Amino acid sequence: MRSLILIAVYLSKDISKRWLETPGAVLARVSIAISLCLLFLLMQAGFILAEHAIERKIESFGINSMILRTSPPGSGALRPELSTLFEPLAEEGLYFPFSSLFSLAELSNGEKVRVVVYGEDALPALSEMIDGFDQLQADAFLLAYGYPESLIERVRLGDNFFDSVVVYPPPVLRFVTLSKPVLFIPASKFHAIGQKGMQESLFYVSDEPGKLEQVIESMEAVLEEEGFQRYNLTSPVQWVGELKELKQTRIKAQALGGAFVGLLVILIFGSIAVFEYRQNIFATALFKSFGLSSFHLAVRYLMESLLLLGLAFYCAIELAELIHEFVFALAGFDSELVTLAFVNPYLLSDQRVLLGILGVAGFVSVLPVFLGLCKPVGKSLG
Amino acid sequence: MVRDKTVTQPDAESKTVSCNNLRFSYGKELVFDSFSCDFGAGITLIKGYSGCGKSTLLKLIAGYLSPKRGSVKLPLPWKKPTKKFQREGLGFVFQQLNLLPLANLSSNLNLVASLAGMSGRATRERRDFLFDRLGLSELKRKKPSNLSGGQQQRAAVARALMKNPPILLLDEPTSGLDDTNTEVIKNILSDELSEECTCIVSSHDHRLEEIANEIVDFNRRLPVERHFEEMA
Repeated sequence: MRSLILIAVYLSKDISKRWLETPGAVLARVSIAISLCLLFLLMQAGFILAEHAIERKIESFGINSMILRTSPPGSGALRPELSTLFEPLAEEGLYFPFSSLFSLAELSNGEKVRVVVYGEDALPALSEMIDGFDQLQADAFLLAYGYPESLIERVRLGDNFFDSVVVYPPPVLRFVTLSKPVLFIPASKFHAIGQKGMQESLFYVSDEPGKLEQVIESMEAVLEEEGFQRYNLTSPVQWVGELKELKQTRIKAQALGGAFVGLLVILIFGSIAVFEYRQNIFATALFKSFGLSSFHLAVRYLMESLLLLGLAFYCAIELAELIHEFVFALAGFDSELVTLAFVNPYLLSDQRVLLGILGVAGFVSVLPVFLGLCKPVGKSLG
Repeated sequence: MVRDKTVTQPDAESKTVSCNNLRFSYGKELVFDSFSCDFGAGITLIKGYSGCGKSTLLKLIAGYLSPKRGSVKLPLPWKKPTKKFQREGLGFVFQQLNLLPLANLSSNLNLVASLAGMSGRATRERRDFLFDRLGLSELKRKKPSNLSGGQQQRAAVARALMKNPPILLLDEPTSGLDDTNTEVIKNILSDELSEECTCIVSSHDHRLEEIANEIVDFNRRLPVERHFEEMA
């Protein structure tokens, strides 16, 4: 035990002396490892944030919901109305057919808002989605955040004015409102003003979890059959697929990035370790001549590599946390999403892959030294 | 290339270091072929021209090199050169670079003693005794880089003697040393070695002949033509 302590003290002295003598070699190793780790961490964080963004979107819109938007048919073309075409769906979920006006309405403060026109077939869905919908006494209603509820807002649409009551948007309608104020006008009132230019849409929430994908497939088939040339069908079901794909891409990127980090660490740390071993070869051989095993001496190089890689890993984590918000806000991620309080992709428990890569690379980088240590003492010492 | 058997001391067989039928080469350059030799207790001086294999033989005995064929037999309890033998039973002085550069003289000796399993007290006593005998007491806190060549060589001898080894191998211990330093080393070798210690010294230095119990001259086994080649 005493001899091991003495050897450890000597080898620590050897390491610290080398670090003091050639700080450049230490700084080069650490800074390159920090840069590589930082790149890996930021790449990984980018994927994690993108996954969270999709998950949030899915959560916010609801996994069982979908929206179908169609473009108006060409002149002379005939096709059935969406509201009638998919009416049977009303029995299996929330069925809300509506039309979006191409022109915008204007609030009293000058803000432009989209206009949705709904028919009688949409009333059951609206009653279900909006509390007290049946009691609303106004020409129209305005779904808006940040306005006092039940306030009567005078909204202008072309030359017409609608006294609309403010309603707080129910979360389920995010697909329709897209988190912006929207004016809802009943079709009866709208037809009276004679505006034209609308996009037929359908919002649907399936009652049965997991059935939406099947419903979408059927709808697409029907739309093709009925001659709908241009339509847009959006659903979190597609985002689930995107999310799966993104996760698979992340795994591939981690593997490739990890291999890249590992390879560079092996080359750089290995070259410097071999260089230092050659400078130190006589002292090492002398130790061996005392009967010390090569393993103890190899551990010195392994410990040095792992120590520097550990330091680089720690610094990279700290640095990544420091620049995280700036980098990802710049990359266009949502401001709430990029806060570490919301999601911290640098937790030690999530970095096992990187730690594993560094550990393996650190070990492989000293393999040439291990081989060198197998050289007989008699060939190193005169 | 060296062949044949030379020295035997059958009366001390149990303490004999035996080289049996050794074959060794550095790449294609053959140094020993079927070399056999026994070394008994006492000091054996190996003489010979440069490159005849004196240092190689010491390294083979120490286990620092492995023979291509043949074996080295050591006295009990080791039988053959192993790490344990190197830690506990062997003292070796190399031609150069004998001391760990980052450790002072005391630490150099302590390390060897601790590897040999010596107690702290025994280490201190032995170290101070050797330092005193070799005139190094004032230098024990100094690092090798602050010592002269002679002081370093004396320290190397002290390190080799530290564990009072049954087998002591010295490779050119006095090369380049003045008479004073050589005398100090000669004195300690003749005074401090136990009767059972097998000490093999490889050297050109005639000054060491007077302390040798036996002299092995590798030159005698060299063909005359090779002598001329070596001289040229």
